[in-house]
Amino acid sequence: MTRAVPATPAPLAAYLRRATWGLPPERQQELWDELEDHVLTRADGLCLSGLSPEAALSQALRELGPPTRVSAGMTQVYLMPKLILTASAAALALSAALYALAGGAEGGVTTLPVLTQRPAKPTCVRGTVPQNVTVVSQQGGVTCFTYNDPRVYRGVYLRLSTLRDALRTHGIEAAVQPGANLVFRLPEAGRVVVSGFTGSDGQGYVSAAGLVAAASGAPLTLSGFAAPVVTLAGVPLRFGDGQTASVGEDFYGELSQALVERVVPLWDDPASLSVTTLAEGGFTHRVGTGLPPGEVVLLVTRRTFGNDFVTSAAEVGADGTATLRSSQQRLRFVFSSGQLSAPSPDGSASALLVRVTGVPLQNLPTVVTLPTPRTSEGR
Amino acid sequence: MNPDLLRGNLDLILLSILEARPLYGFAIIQEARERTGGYFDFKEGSLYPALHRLEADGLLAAQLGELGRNGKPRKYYALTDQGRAALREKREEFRTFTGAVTRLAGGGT
Repeated sequence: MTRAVPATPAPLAAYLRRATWGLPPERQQELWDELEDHVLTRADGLCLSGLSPEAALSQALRELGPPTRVSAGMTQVYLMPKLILTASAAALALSAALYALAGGAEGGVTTLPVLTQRPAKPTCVRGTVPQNVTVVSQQGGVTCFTYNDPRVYRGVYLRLSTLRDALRTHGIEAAVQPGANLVFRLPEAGRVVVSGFTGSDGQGYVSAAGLVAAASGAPLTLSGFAAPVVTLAGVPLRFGDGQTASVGEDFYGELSQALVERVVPLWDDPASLSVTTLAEGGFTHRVGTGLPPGEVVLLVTRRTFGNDFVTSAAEVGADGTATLRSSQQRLRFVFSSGQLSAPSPDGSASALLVRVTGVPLQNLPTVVTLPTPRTSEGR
Repeated sequence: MNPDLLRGNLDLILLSILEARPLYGFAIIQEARERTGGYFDFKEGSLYPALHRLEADGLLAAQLGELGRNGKPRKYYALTDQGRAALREKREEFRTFTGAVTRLAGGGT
């Protein structure tokens, strides 16, 4: 009697690839077969208890735990004695590095669809209604409205359930909890709670920058502008496909506050930090960054004495220059945040140019770029 | 249960389960749950690295068994002589430890 052996389902294959990355080939196949049999056997049992095949497979994978944990454990068994690595965190890093060497681009980056307008519920007020709004309802003295200016709702928004599913495909335990919170556990950073909001369609959402800020305790690297990629503890997530629209300006704009917090030592009361992103107006500065094309830089200037900053983010072009905006016409670039002073009465200001992509976010204060020349006259 | 307790005693638990007969990964987990009334409900992902480590250390030996759900022979883990000796040592060590903790906690007789 022969038995039909179905092809490995895609989510299982993705899990097995991730769990066996970096192992010697003979061990890789051995572990692959063991885990595959384990998951399929468990899923069979769950199907008998009434779950659909898809739900059963999903639960069986969840029960197995993050594939990074398996690969880190196996790395310790087979590679650690040779490499004299001792910490499990190092094993995870090694696993991630081997993953990259093995061609992590192949299905490694998960592209998440984004909304570029906040799916906001109407705003409700009692009393005076602002101008330039569309009233949705009026009852008992309470007026609910939406703003007519679409810029009010601009941003980069992710659906929590999509984000949860993407994290799970990378073996990260994740769950959406009541109150539009996404909770997930990263192997190197522990529990992360992302506070989202309930959109007009009843679904939970979070801004892409909100996700990055919430996970800032984890090893985190940014790359790309039109469709930014956040690599979170080795898990690469791309925001948008970059084909229909570039979300870079909104993404880095929203992220500015979190970036400035990392770069600049806050004076007096940290809670007083105010960051304004200049998306239009002001002066345009084209500066030579000396960085490879495609990297992203953030211009930081101090608006006044204190914790009041203005930022502008831009992608480095093919010629190595980036075009940034500033409220100041004359900029004098400095090499440390401590040299960032309030603007002079003559309209010049010290400015900091920080590379924000291609480097671990934890290293931001050390990746200040000095443009050539070191001054810029805006237009 | 406290996961640290499980991690700290994983080798003893696995060797104890395999003392009676060789088993494959999934069956080891079922056996652990059944014999402890669900008390040992560990994340399966940590099981396989532990089994491979014990095998690499010579405490377990692999044997191929019947075809699994994926059509490949299942890998059964069996205790080696070295594994049986290690199990005896770990049991004795555990008895000494728990006895000392019990006396400290005032539960000794």
